Amino acid sequence: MLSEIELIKGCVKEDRAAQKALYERYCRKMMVVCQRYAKSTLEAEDALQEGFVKVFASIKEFRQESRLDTWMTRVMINTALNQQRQKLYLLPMVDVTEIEMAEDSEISLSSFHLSELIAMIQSLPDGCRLVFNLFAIEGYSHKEIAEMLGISEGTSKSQYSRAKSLLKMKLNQHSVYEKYRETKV
Amino acid sequence: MKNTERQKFDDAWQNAFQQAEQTPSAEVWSALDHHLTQAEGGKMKRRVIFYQRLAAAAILFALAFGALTTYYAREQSDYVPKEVVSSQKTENSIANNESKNLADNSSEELKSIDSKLKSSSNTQGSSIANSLIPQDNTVVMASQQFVMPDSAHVKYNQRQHADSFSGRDYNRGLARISLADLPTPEISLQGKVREVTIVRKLPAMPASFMAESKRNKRTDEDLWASIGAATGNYSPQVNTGSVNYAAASGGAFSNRSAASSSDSRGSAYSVGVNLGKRLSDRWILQGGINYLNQAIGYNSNIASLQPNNQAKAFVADYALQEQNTNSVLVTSPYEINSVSEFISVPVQAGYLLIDRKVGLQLNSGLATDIFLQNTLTDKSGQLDKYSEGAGTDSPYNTFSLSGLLGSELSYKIGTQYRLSVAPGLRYSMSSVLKSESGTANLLVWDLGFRFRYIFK
Repeated sequence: MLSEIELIKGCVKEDRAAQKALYERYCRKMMVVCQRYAKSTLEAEDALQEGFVKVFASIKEFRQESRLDTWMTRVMINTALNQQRQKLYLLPMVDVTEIEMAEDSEISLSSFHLSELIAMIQSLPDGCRLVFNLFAIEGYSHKEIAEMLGISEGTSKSQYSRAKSLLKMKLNQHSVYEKYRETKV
Repeated sequence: MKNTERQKFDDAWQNAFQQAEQTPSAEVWSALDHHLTQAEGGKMKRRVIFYQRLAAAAILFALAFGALTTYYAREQSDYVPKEVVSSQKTENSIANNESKNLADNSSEELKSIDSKLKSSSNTQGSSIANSLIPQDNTVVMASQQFVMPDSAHVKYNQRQHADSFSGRDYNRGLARISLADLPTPEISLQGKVREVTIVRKLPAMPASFMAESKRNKRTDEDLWASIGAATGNYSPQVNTGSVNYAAASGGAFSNRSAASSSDSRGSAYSVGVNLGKRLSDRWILQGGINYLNQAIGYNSNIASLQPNNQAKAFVADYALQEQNTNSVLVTSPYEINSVSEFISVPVQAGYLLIDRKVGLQLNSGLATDIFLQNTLTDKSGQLDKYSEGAGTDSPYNTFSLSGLLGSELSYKIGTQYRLSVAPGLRYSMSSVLKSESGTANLLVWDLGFRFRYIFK
């Protein structure tokens, strides 16, 4: 089994075997990233393919200052965002300085299957889905998200707030979240 | 409290996806493999196109360069050196009458001149004057015995010169020499700079990535300074006007006429500094300051005799300048090295045909050339140097305008440097000689090297 450095060197030389090995090693993890940003599995696979094209094209610029999978995740996110960018102008430009969040208790999503969680995220409106992914899962701040997407910070917050409430609603619909709250109370 | 609750919700989602994996369908790799294969083919194709265009540009330039060189070589081989004939028109009856009188006096005059020259050289301990005198003791020619070339415009000048060298009798026998207007080929630079649009087929990628990828390949050099040097050849394209100047009569020297002719081609070099600025994606503006040095050989049998009896190297181009001040002697033929120096301030627009690590640009523009001086040096060392600077008494225009055309093939070294080879043409659109002295439109073709430092 090739080491990560050998894989990178092979990909820099555009060696097809190394490219395939890299793909096979990381495609599953990257598929989930793409699925979170896409509206459907088909769209996610398109993003995955484009993302790997970018990875192979720009791997010579990878300085190994971060982990390879972290760098690849960023490439996938950028690819997915580019695919979704045209939808961004549809985001309502709401300037919100302070979003009042409903108080939540501790939650656990372990009882959910991965495909169920992905389906919940994919069911979110485009803007909400992007902002929620970037804020909750990737860990970007609203300021960074605003710069990345070219929207205001207030819009990012409002989209996130909406995404959160929609997700809670979906969790409630599955009754699990409700049951969990009951047990905590 | 709110933040904590929100983080719990976010952390739950983050944790849920941390190690999550989902297998994509097999079609993804198939499509990816197909895409990579196509991209490799496309890259190879682009590389081939790039080298094809580079080769085409090089061939075009070589053809143009070769054609120009051949053309000027052919022109110069047909070029008749301007000849200055000291004579009188044989068909001129007045001149004939005069010549009879002059013939009578010629022997005496020659003896007189010869003895003066000899005494001059003896008193100064110099052999300059003697060296000017051929074996047959020819110093100046007898006006009545010149063979008149058809093309030469000859006037008989009865006016006597106030010449410090010659005595009363000598002056009476001198004829004024007129310069013949010889046709010189007029060269006009023609042709169009062909603009080549490079179309690159980019892979199907998102717009932002394509822009990024394009930026990476294309250089983002905005401002730079360069030092450079170039060396090459030049054609003088001299056409001097009709000028009379003194020559002595002498029946024994009828087979020699006063003449100077330059070589058809001289050598040129330049050094300078330039500053460049990118105006748009493809267009740049360059300017700077250069020192130009142009050297050419002359065959001359003319010398300028100074008031102190020192003889200096001289050419017919300066006859106008010299006729009122010093006397001009006809001597044994000798070789002169003529060096003209200029300061040039060029301003050029450049178009980037290829803007990558390897760059190719076409340059065109104008340069203001400031004449510094011309120095005539006798290669044998027997005659003194003769120098002409700029100014009102100079036969040279202080300022002249040149057209520039060239290309620059460069290679980027690191992030801050670029080394380039720059073949080019320079043509004096306005004469470097003043109108009363004639015209001289220099055509220079050279090959330069430039080392560029990129500021940003």
